[in-house]
Amino acid sequence: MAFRSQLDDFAALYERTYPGLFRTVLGICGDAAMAADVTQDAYAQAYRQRSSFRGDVPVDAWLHRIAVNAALTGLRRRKVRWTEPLDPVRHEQPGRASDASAAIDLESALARLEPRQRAAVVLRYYHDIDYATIASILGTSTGNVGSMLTRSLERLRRDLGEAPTAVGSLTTTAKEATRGR
Amino acid sequence: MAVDDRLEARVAGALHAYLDPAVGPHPRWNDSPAAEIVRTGPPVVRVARRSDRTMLLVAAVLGTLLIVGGLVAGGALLRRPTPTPSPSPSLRAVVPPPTTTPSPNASEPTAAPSSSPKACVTHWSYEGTASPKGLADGVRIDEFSGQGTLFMAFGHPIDTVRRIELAPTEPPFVNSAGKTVTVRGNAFYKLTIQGLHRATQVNDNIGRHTVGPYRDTVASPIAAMRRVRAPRLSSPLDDPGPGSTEIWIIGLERPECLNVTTRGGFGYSGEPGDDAVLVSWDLP
Repeated sequence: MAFRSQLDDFAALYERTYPGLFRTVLGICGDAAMAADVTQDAYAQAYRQRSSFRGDVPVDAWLHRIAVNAALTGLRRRKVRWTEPLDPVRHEQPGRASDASAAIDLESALARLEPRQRAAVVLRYYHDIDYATIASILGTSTGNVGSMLTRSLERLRRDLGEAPTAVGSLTTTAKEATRGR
Repeated sequence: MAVDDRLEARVAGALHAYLDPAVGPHPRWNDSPAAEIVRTGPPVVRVARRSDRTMLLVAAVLGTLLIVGGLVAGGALLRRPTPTPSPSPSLRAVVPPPTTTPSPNASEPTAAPSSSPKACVTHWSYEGTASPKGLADGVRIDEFSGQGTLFMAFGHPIDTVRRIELAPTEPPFVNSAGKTVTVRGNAFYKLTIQGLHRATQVNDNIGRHTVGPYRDTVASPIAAMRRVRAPRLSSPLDDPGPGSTEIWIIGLERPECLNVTTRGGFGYSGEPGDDAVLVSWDLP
């Protein structure tokens, strides 16, 4: 079983998955220090639970499930208000001023979403994870994932100043959900 | 749909611009805190299951004996009067943590000299002295410390509330209708506010105004809160009995000591004096 060998070499699994998992948690928490702590908690938890993992989902999805739950729990416990954008300097790279500006806009817009919606948005639009896997990570149905993403996009559209779309807009997410994508 | 594709692409692009530069501080397993945790074990072992309570009590009694023995050996007990016997030993026999000093006008039955280890405070009460005006306008969680702080803001200075009390309690819990209610948690406190003419209102500032177990708003170590008695709204303030009394059961994930402070500036009456109570928790 491939997943078993991955778990046996936990150090390699950690180093392969850490950047992505940290970014997922950062996208949910919006606070780098908290994201670092939560990510470590998640890996420690994963290490302890690795013997009970049965391979029902890919290892990466299993790690994401643990990390997302840890992030949501962390937010509930710490009630971190995600209102302050990250230091823009962190994003400034030569020739990427517009990217930095877009990132800051998005941070503000993401901050206004519910934490689970943020998780769904990050998993879908950053990691490009399919609906069924997102559903297993969030412990919900694919239909609910579609609904969450639709509502999130509606909100992001308003907050990002996106022009209203024609009739039938925002239906791709719903259609994907019904297809169980 | 093309229009959606455009928005989704914009969101994806912005997410990449936001997250791609973010590099976590622990890219190597061997240097990571997680590896340290799995090598040495978790920093805090939670003993919170009800089935473990007997073991916890045994440990607490042993801890008390050790502490008392240590104090006697150090001569600390010889320098101060014998403390008042504890009315409820269930949560007290624990290693004392450092806590902030409660408001001087609050009673703290288990206060200890600052030079010696401080006892775990499990009882706190406040007796008002002015004419009761009641009206607690919020019992809400967190907002300040991010550590499950219980925050009570009163419309008038707390001196005008007849009595506020926090004390350990145990199931079963019975509401004013005589029905047994369940509160999640492994250790429990009873919060009694006496001298209200209106039930406290939820003000969680999170956007969800719910009344009841507070599953959506509590923060660790609070597992749940449930109001088991509300004041009868038509009751006059001079009713010293249940008509002006509100009772909450606070379920905690584990036994905790109380750390209570009072604050001013939260009420809307503009009257001088502390008008809010902050309860935080200290691990035994």
